[in-house]
This record gives sequence, C-alpha cells and structure tokens, in this order.
Amino acid sequence: MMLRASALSLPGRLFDVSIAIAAGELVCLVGPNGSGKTSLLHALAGIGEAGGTIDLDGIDPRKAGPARRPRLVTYLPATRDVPWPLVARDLIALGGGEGDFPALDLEPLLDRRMDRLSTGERSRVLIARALAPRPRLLLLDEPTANLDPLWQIRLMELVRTEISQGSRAALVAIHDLDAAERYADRVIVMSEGRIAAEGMDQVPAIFGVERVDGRWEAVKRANPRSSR
Amino acid sequence: MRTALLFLALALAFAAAILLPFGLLGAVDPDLAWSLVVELRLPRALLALAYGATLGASGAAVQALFANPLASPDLTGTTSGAALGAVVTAYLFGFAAPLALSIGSVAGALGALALLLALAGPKAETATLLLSGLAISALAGALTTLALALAPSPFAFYDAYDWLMGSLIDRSLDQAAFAVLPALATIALLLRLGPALDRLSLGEEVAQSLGHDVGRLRLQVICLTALGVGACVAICGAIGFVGLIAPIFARRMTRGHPGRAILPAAIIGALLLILADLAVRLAPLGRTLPIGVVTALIGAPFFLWLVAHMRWRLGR
Repeated sequence: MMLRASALSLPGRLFDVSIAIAAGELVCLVGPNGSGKTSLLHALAGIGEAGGTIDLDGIDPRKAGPARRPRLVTYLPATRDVPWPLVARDLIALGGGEGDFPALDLEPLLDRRMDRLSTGERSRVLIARALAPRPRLLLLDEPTANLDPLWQIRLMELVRTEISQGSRAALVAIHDLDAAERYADRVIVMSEGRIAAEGMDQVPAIFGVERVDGRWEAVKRANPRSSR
Repeated sequence: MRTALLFLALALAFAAAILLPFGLLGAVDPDLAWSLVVELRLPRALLALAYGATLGASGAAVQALFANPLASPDLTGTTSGAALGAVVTAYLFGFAAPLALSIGSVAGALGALALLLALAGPKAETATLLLSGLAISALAGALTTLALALAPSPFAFYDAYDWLMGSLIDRSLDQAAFAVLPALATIALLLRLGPALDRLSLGEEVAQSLGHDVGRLRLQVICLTALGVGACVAICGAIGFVGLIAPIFARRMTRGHPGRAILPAAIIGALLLILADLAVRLAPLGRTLPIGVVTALIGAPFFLWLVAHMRWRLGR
C-alpha cells in the first residue's frame, strides 16, 4: 500500500498539504488546536470539498462508491456522539465490515444500544466500526480520547497489530504528545493549516511546550505561542 | 416475516374498506352495488392507502434525514405548505384542475421544507426543529386563511373547509390517480434511499467517508417528500400525525434502523389511515367526521407522550 496525497487544500483550513504514507506505517499527526489535523483527515476521507490529488495504490478513494470505499479508507471522527441510537452490533455492521476484535472486549457491548453505553464503551464500538472493514488506510481522529490508560495502550497496540496484517497503514491525529512519540513510526507536526515539521524537534516552537525532567511544561519565554 | 404479516393486515383492511358495510351491497341491485364499489369505495380506499403509505414512508425518511424521531411531514410544516400552495393555486390563480392543484401543492411543500432547512439546519436539535416547523405551519396557515379571504369567490371558506381538514370523500378514480401515482412513485424512490439513510445514522461525516453524497441525499429526500405529500394534500387535504406515528412503530421492527424502516412505515401508515377512514364511516354519529380530526385525536396524545419520553436523545 502506498498513499500519496498532494496539494490538499481547503480555503481557510488547509493550505497545499502533501503527505506520503507507506505500507505498515503508523503516522501520528500532532498540532495545536485549529492547526488543520481534522481538516487533513477529512480531506483524505473524502469529507467536504478539499482540492488536491489523492492516490491510494493508483485509486482516488474519493471516487469510490459506498460498496468499495470502506475497504480503501475508513474514518473515525473525534466526537463520540452518535446521532441515532442503534444497537452496537448494527452500528458496526453499517460501517461495511464485520469481525471481532478480542482486544476491544466488545462481547458485553454488542447487544446494547449506543445511548445506554458510557462514553468509553461507545468509543470502543466506534473504533471497531472503523477497523471492521479492514481498510488499507485508517484515519483516526483522537482515538484514545475518553479511554482510560489501559484501554489507550490496548487500542494503540491493536492499531499497530491491524496495520501489520496485510498492506495497510494508519494516520492518527492525537493531542497526547507522549502517545504520539511512543506509538508512531513517524510524527507529523501541523500548524496553521500546513505541515510544519516531521519529528518532535519543532514541538517547543510550535506548541509552546517543552519537556522538563520528563514532563511537558509551558515554554518560559516572553511570548511562547502567539495568541490567536 | 413480520413485514409479510403487515402486508396481510393491510390487504385485509383494504378489503374491509371496499366491502364494509357488507349488507348494503347485497341490498341493492348488482349494477348499483358495482358502481358503489368502483365509484365511491375504491377511490376512497386507494386514497387512504396511498396517502397513508406516503406519510409513513416520507415520515421515516425525514426522521432519518434530520436524525430526529419528531420530524414528520406535518410537524415540519410540509403539509401546511402544501395546503397553502393548493389554496393559492385554486382560489387566487383560479386553476382548479387536479394537475394544477398538485403542482401548486408540491411547490408549497417544497418551499416549506426548504425554509425549514434554512431555519433549523440539517442537524437541528429537537426544540429548534419543532419550533421552526411550528413557525412555518403557523405562517402557512395564516397565509392560507388570507388567500381564502382574498379569494374572488365568497364561498371559498366553506368550499375549502372540508378539504383543509382532510377528506377522502367524493373523489373519482381519475382524481385519485393524481394522488396515488405520485405517491407510489415517491415510496418506490424513497425505498432506494434506505441504505444511505441507514448509513447517515452513523453521522454525516462518517456517511460521507463511507462514500455517500449527503448533500444529494438530503435534496432527494426533500424533493420526494414534497412530491408525495404535496400530491396527496392537493387531492385530500392535510392529514396529520400518521407520518409521525407510523415510522416510530416501524422502527421497532428494524432494530431501530431508520432507513430500513421506510417500507414497514409505509405499510403501517396505510393501515392507520384505512382504519381511521373505516372508523369515520362506521362510527354511529349520524354525520361524517373529517378524517384529519380522527388522526389528530389519536395522534396528538401519542405525540405528547413522545415529547415526555424524549430523554433517549444522546447529548442533546
């Protein structure tokens, strides 16, 4: 699998972003609020009208219809609200795939309605929905949000296991810099709708935080981060 | 299986609507009995079937579209808009032919739905949706009254009253066809949108990421609802609550899937309206009740109960 996207742009949100991801890669996308992480995931998932070219193994997934699309790309939004209270099992099936993920321990949840689950339980079901079609490219927006520490570790390890099977990859937007560093093969830093850097070196300049004795602290200087 | 049972119940109700009261058919000579069935009872039963099914199917589709179980053709102001369109066409412009009425009515329904979308937005909260629908209904109702008051004919109010309250009576088979054919086309086309509407229940963004064109889906549901409801209102007037109730029962048969519920909602809607019309005909009141009054008497308490039990909404 190989993803090459170039000149992705969405007025006011995303400016000429190009990104390449190879098979087996878990790429984490970090950046301050409003830096364009979600917009980039949306552009790649075919949500909205972003300009630019996307080439996933010679296919533009945006041109694939509902029958083929879930095998190419799936997208997990950051919200854990579901607009309609389906039973968990049905929600996963509607995503276009099936399959059990023992690591998510879904069995006790499958026959319950989404609105009767806790936020963390809903997260696990929604993640299973995105994983179940076994897409070539997984686009996950804050997958570890609302999960307790153990579930966060299990989830990221599951994503790692999933993409190592077959020719697949994942692009994960995440705020937790430690998690990004720990799980990613590569970290991409976004800022103001552009890709600002690869790797963690630019984090203090872009985020205004730096690691002090193993903890993230606000950078101590006159104007650490321009106010928006 | 349960859909088959529903179909059976519908067939029985339809047969009852044609044959009851049975004694009357035997008491008159065969020619008269035949024309009684073909000219009076058949158009009436067909209209009840088509109108009820349209309300059920479009109610299910509109509820799926707005992700809200209280969105229905009447509560969104669609039926009021359709009635306004028909009244303006008939009494102000003076075109009383069924086709002209249908066109005016469909245009009115389309206008009401477009206004609702502009006012409340596609993902409206329940309160916003209901208040916008209420405002549109009130506006359309006031304009309907105004149009009747300004109409050249001094009898406009009296003429229009029976029709406005919803009536299946005294329509010929030819007139009925102007409602029945668009209604059946609407239902058939809405059924094809079922899978996409089910996917929409995962959220608009997810539906888009699964390859559905949500903007086009929204346009299709709105145009089809306007077509079906508009055509029925033009011939039979505004009938409330069937489009609200039928989908809610239908979804109990589809594990809550809003798109898959379109077919059972159509059958339940048809069944409800045929039974309501039978009640109107067989009630020993000595006079005819408008059918819209019957559906409102059953539907309004149900609606109140529903509003009181709306706590199942997520995060709203």
